[in-house]
Amino acid sequence: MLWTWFVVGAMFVGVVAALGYPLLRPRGRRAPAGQAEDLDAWIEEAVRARRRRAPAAPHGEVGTAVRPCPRCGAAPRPGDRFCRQCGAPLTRSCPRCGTPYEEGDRFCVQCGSPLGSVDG
Amino acid sequence: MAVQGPTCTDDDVQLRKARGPRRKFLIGGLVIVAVVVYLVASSIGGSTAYYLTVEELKAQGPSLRERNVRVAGVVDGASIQYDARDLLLTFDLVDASGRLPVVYKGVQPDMFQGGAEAVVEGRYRSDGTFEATNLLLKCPSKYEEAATAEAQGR
Amino acid sequence: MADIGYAAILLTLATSLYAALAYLLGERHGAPELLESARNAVWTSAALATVASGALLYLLERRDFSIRYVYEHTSTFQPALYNLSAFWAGQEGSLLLWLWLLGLFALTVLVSRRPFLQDLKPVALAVVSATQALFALLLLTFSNPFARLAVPQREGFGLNPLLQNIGMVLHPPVVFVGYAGFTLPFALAVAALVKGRFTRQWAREVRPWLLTAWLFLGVGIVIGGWWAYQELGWGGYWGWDPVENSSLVPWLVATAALHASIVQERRGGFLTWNAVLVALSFVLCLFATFVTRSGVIQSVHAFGGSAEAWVFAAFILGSLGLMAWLLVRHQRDLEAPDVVESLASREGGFLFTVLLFVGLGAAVFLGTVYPALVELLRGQEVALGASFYNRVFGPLALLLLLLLGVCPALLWRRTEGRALPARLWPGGAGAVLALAAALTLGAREAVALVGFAAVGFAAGTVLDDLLRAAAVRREGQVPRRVDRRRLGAHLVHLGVLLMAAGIVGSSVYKTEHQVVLLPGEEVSVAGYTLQYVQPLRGTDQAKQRAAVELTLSQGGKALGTLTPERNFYWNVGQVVTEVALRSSWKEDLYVVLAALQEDGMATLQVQVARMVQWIWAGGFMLLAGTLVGLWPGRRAASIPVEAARGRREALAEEG
Repeated sequence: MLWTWFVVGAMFVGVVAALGYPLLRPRGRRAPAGQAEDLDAWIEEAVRARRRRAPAAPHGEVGTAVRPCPRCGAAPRPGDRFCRQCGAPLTRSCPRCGTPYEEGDRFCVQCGSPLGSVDG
Repeated sequence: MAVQGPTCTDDDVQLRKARGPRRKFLIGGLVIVAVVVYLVASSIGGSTAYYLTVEELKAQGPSLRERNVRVAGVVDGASIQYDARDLLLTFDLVDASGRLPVVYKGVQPDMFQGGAEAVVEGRYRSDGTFEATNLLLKCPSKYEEAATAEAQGR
Repeated sequence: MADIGYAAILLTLATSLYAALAYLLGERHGAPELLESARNAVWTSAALATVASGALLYLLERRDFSIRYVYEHTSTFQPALYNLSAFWAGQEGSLLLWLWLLGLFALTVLVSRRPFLQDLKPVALAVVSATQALFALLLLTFSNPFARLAVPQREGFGLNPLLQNIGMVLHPPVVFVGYAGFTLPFALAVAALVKGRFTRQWAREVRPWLLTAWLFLGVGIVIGGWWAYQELGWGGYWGWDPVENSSLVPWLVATAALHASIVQERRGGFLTWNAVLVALSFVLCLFATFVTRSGVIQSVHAFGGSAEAWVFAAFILGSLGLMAWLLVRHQRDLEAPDVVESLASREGGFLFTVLLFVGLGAAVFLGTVYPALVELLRGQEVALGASFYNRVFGPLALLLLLLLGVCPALLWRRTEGRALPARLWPGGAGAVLALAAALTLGAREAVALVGFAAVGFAAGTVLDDLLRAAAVRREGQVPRRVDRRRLGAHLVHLGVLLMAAGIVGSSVYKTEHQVVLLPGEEVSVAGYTLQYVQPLRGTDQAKQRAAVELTLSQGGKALGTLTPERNFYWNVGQVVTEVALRSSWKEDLYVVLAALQEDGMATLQVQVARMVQWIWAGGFMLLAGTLVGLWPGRRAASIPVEAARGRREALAEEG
């Protein structure tokens, strides 16, 4: 009997945690209306970026939903390359020459500088 | 696959052309609807069987003639007679208003036994028996009866 | 364990309600944290539903007879498989199955990476979650699978012996996957209307979901017919019973929706039709679930109370109301230039197809609710016989066959009148061949000749189209994916034609014979020779067995042994017969043991029906064809460049 209560309690806690965490996590300003879920928009943009390989194309140029700053969660405006609240870089560009790089790249293909991990 | 996008000019032209055949469509569509409605309306009458109680059946007997009726009731276990050779099943169907002798030609259905709720469909014969062309049994709600019986320690 | 299951359902009610609200609020106010929270809620709902289902399965497997549902449907002396299939044997388990399936299906939408669907997810998942909440509510109040017995039992009642058959292990879950599956196209339609995305691409993107639900429901219905044929002993496979009918109606409406969505995809038309049909399919599935498990419509299957009637009715009306409101509000999005320009066009053919299927569905639906309506309006109790359905279904099915023979020959937009005869000659040839074959084999009845000719007509056109497409494919002109869809459609249509032929054959050519034999005697029936070898009797924990062993031969050639049974099951206290069946493509020999006397005298009822196996074969072909059509083509990530660029430009224009 006791273990039943334990399991039920665990389920309850799990539910509260899963549902509550995104709400209670520190956040910045709210994003504009009509924004689709972050992860999905990010995936979509990543797929496009892969096809495009255009020079200096930071996230958000296409006009789709932009994802919040990975460090502080503030919502950037389209075109922003660094977060206006905490200064963290928002795009995957080489810090030295600005060429966009792909996830997994360790050196910039244009200037050769080593690339650190930007994303959280 | 072509790029998704408005095909403007194409359809504007077609819009004007569409007016004429549109009438043909409406007619074609209405014809189909009419056919369906006709089929339904004409078939419903002949296929509807009215439910009567045993009392109503006996009262209306003469006027019913050949019309198909249904009677619902409970099978009287003591009255069940089954001629296995000729596949003739006779039993009495009992409802709140009376008792009806039923004659059914065919295999004794699964689940047939005294106390079963049954529906017979057929004709009421002049000799006072009911000639059943269809014998339907309600799947018994055995759970309640069984559960209580068990719980009472059958 | 039962408490865990109940608690899981209770939590599911909370999480699904929360998910619906959070998605709607998050979408409205642009709050990504609410959306993410809702997303977690969908995952949690699915997990909790799985826990609840797992709990019930555990209790069934363990045969914990202190739980009422387990007691009612399992026993220690029935084959273990049926203890598990007891999950969907009753109302409570069926509703739990719905809940579980909805949870899983919501995930298929949630994890989809297809770019088109991203914006639709919040609203669509809100709708699915709301449906989940409905089922959770029903499970907690009226249909608790975890309810306990006042007095725990040591032995279970066991499954009704009629249900102890492989058909009944497969039929309910397959049908329920179909039912629950129709929630997704509906949810996606609602979302698309809200977001203004109810476009040609919507039709293409949602097709796999619609097709899959349609497939499961269709195959489930066929399995049900097969079970009825094998098990019920009256030699038929379809009784126009309200439960059967209520599963057929959504399938007919969904078939109309599938065809309407093709026009939506290709020409951007039939938008309103499509939205309505998708909504109706979903609502009819809810209706069917309710009808199957309640006693509102008089049926041989009926058991269960109707307290949940109001809850179901409210949800159904709410869904229809929502769709109606959306259609009115977003009228402008649904305005499309009249796509049907000429009667003799593919669009025209599709319009008639949609109308006929909807008409058929409406007729069957009307017939099913007619007794209830009459009782409601006139206070008179009536029953509608099978003759109604045969009289209505027959002509309409014939029209559909003719349409199938004409439509593939029609071109999109318009077909020149002059070109028609040339395009229709394969159909004509098919009709003539079929007619000739039928006459040669001895068919003389009008119904059979007309039916076979119509099937031949349609088959001629479909086969011609198939071969033509194969020729084009060889030349390498058509993209793989489009081609696969067309091939799938051809196979499905051919499957339907096989079934139609089987139905015509088995309906017209059916004979019944009665035979009485003593052990050792033999008799000649319909060209077969049956020899009564010996009676077989026995008793086990479940039943008292009475059977006869017969050897079958035809024209001197031995065909095997048939063992029809007539068993008395202790738990239900009734007799259940097991049919002995010998099938071939030409005909089925169906033997029922009507009576077995003490002295071994056996009365047998022998039925011979032609072409029954064509129906099941056709069903397989339908399954295979749909799978071919569903087979994934290019991966979602490879968006055509022009499409992506086009979208970027469009968005840039918005500012």
